Amino acid sequence: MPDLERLYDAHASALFGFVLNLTRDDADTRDVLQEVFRKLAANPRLLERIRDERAFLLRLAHNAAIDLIRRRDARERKHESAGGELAELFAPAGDPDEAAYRAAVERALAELPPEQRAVVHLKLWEGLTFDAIAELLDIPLNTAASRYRYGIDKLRKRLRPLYDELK
Amino acid sequence: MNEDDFEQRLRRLPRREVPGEWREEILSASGAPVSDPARFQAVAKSSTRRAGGRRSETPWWLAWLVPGRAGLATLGTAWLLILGLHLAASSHAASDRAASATVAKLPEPWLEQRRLLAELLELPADLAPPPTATRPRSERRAQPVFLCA
Repeated sequence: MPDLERLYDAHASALFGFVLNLTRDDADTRDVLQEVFRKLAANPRLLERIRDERAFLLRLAHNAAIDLIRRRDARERKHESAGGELAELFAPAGDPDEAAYRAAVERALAELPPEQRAVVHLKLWEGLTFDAIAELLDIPLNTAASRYRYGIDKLRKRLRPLYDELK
Repeated sequence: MNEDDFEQRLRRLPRREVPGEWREEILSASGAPVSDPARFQAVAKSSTRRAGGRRSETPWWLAWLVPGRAGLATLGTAWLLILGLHLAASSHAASDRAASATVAKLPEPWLEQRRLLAELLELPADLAPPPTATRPRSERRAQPVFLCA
């Protein structure tokens, strides 16, 4: 069995941030992380010959999160339930202006389509190159770059007034 | 609004940490033994950024010995080699001892033969010629005798 404790300690924070940005729900995020680690425990040789553990685990988490989002959306359509509160992505801020800015960023990110949000997250907060993002999400390089550009432009447009005010 | 500034500001936003109690829940559900929940707090803070390669906390000598079949095989081969050399050396010493014992026994019959020859020639024992080594009859040749008048 792979050293799950070591894997968790090394990568859980990154997986948590990425999956939370996709699902925007704490319980769903925990389910996805649990699914990833259950898969690792059930397939001890899954990580053999893997060059980059972090990228591989992010890929597993992305696939599990997309499956869960599809199931959740279908379930919510069936029950016609209204969307609940979105889970917070960022640490709470003491300064009210900063807190307002973080809340605005969270709302703006939630409005991005999941595929753009995934690329923006991996580029901004995981520091991956477009090559690595393209490989991780199994999309062409140009698609990764254009999704990032569209996503960042939307965020910029949405956040411009608040950003200029805070600057 | 400068593009780089905007992106850098987004990048610097501090993200929420994964709730501490999840560690035990997730690892237990995966069937992994959970040893030290406090370990995560220290590691998580130091590795919020990318941590690509595997790191081993096992000492190099233990890593070489314990999981490595090659290491154990090398050690076993070396041990067998040493044992073989030891056995070979001890058997060689035993044969040397036996040979030297045989040599030590040789002078006694030789002296006896010399004494008998001296009696026949009526010479003192220390003047008798040394006995010739006995050889098989087939190898004996007649020695030419030169008589002097």
